Amino acid sequence: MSAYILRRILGAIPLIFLVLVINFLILHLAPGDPVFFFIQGGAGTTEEYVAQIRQMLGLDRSLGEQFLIFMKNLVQGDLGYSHFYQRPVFDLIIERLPITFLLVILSTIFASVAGIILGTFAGTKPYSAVDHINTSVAVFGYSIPTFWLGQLLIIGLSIHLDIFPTGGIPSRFTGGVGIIEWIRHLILPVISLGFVQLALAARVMRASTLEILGMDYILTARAKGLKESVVIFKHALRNAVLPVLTVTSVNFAFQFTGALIIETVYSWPGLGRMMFESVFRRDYPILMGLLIVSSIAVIVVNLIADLLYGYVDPRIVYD
Amino acid sequence: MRGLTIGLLILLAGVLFVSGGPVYGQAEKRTLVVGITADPRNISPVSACTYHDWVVGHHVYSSLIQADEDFQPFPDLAESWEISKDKMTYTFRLKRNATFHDRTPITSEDVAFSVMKLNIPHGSICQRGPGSVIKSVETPDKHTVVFRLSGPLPEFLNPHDGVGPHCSGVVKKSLYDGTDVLTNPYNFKPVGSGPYKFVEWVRGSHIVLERYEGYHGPRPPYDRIVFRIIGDPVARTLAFEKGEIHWVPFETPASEVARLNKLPGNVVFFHGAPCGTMVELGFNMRKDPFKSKAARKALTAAINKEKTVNLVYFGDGAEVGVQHVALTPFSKWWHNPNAKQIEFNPAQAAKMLDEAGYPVKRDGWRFRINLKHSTAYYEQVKIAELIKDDLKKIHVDLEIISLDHAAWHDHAFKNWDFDTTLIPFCSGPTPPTLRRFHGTNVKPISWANCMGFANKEFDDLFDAMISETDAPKRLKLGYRLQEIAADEQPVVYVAHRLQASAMKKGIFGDLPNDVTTLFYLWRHIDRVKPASR
Repeated sequence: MSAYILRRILGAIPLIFLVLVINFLILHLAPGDPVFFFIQGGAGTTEEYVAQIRQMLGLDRSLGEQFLIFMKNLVQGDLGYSHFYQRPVFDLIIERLPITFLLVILSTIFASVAGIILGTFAGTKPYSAVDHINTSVAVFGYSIPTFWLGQLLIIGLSIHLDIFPTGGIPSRFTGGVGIIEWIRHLILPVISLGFVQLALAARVMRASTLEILGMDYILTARAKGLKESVVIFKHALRNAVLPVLTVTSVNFAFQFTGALIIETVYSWPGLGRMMFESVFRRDYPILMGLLIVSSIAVIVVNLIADLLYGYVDPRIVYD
Repeated sequence: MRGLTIGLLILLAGVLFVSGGPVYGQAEKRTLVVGITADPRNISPVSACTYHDWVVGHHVYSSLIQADEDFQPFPDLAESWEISKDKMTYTFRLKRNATFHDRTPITSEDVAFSVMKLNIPHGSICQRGPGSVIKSVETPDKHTVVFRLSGPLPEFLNPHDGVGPHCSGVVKKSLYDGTDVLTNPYNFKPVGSGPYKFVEWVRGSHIVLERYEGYHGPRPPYDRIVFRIIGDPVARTLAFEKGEIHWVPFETPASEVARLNKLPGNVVFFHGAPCGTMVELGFNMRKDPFKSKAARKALTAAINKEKTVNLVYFGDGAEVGVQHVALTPFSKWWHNPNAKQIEFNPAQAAKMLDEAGYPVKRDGWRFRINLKHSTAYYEQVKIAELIKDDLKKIHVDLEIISLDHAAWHDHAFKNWDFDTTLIPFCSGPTPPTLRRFHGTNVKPISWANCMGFANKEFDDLFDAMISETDAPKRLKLGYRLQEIAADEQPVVYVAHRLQASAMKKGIFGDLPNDVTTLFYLWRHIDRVKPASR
């Protein structure tokens, strides 16, 4: 197992390097000049000042030189410096990482758990009311744009019913920072972000459950006189859940994209919003830093998913 | 077990329902919550150039002067000032009781340092204003600052374009001297001298300021101001509707104004601003057919600006564009009512193009041009569609190219790679705003003269006006400049976009009506008492 993990980690390094090279080129070759955003320009600005700022940002050097400087700093643990925020990129990311991490992890757990439960009930009772609810939720969840769902939830549950806040994170200056406040602020963003995943998980789980329940060993279990709940939750579930794990890990990367939208709708100060604003401003250091973080996150999550297979299905052995 | 689970769920639900909404009004301290669109770049005079830099920063740091309700210079750190007869020397006497938030006294050295080392090098408004004429600064004693100019500048005491907050925001010299001012950590945890002191900044979430009890001016009414950073306009509007935000200065979507006003407790209104936004369609005068003045005027005559105002800005959110300088309370003293662009007349437009040598060809078009715009301005794609429609009627084919904001900057300002482009230009408040059309401003810099307009008469008159201190002569020069800018038509003046601000009734006591006050309302909260709730 350790050898397997080490092999995966070592294999990830060239992958991350490739991601960095491709994205560095894309970012720097795309139209848009960070200097313009830094200065904001105007009739009083001179070309000499523009050149001075370009030099300060390191953009007067060739692309190759810029990339080498970036990589040299990276291996020393320096993710660069954002001249717009005037702070190291590492500090900016660390500041916001927990927020996005919290949102993405909770929404993934919510989507997976709710999808598994819904899909299991739908699979065990096909064409029943539960199954129809499952199908409706799946179609609705997969069709509705995430940002629109978020806004609808705000209008319904926050404005009209006044149960939840409209957005933001708790603060001691506006309502307090206790656990209840955090729960209240998290519920709507987590549901909004996780709903697409939930729809997918529910459909996959239903299909998988139906398939597993048709297998011979389930027939044997029932013939032995086991209770139906034992048949489903002890014998069928563990096999049926494997495709959901696959889908969840593959889609984890998309959760970050979804987080960008949800953080905007709910005004959460996370990495997604920072990425959106940095793309707008062409803040290259932050974008490169975020690419590294998201690449590592996707690779780690996929590794965890692979390891979970081995835990859920003892037949899978890593060597 | 099942009963316990159900009981816990009911308890949780009860807690959520009982918790309800926010309780700002009942908080131990009286708090004003303001919604802004983005984090400021910093909370200091360094590189402050957008409204969210100012709306936060101008509560934290003082300046020599600020604006009163009539947009006239009002004492802030400077309790009085004298102007030499030749208008080349300005002497400011500072308040003796003014202190920084760490209770240390403010001296003339701090003011001189702030203006010369921070505001002028790193502030575009300051650079084109006082920064362009200040030759030297002297500090004969701890409470006197003397500016000596290389040439007269009539706007020197203008609160917006002169030594107001955009050009004399004061920092503590000892915290900045000898450091790189751009990266100084006090840009983010400022030690200012304004009515409110810095408490906390969670980037992307909120900024908290608390009343500074040692403030040198009138005691501010609120104990605390919380700026909530909500970038999405829908989210911001919903937060205001629910009461989580008391005030959204600017940036309320025009489409929401009428709806929000119908809800009890809200006051939402359109208003102008000193730097009025004139939405202009710029012509690339380096290319045909835009080299031809007749062609430019013809295209202008073909565009229905009133329809744009009604359909895009809901009638109230903008005024029909007439010339670069919009008529506002800030500009009325020098706005030329006779300087007008050609009026909407498609028949005349077609005739003018025929006479200019652009008849309709066999393919049914006179010529094909593009319009490049930024997707950052939500209304521009609608304006572009309307213009396309209008030009189609006179057989001009317009291709609309939507670009992300950074790419648009490249095309429009850096590479001049466009035929026409929509630009929201700042059109005020003082005559130097016309520098936009000066020939020396044709340079590859954002918001410069990307049209390539260069008119010798305009340039000479502008150079004369900028240093003319005789008011009637200056006004006459300003009038003529406006006439040239309207007649030469380097751009189509499409619409003067107004701002929409939203506030809860009573947060500022009796609501002032004057537009001037409304813009500086966020500064006037230092002097207006809140109504009891």
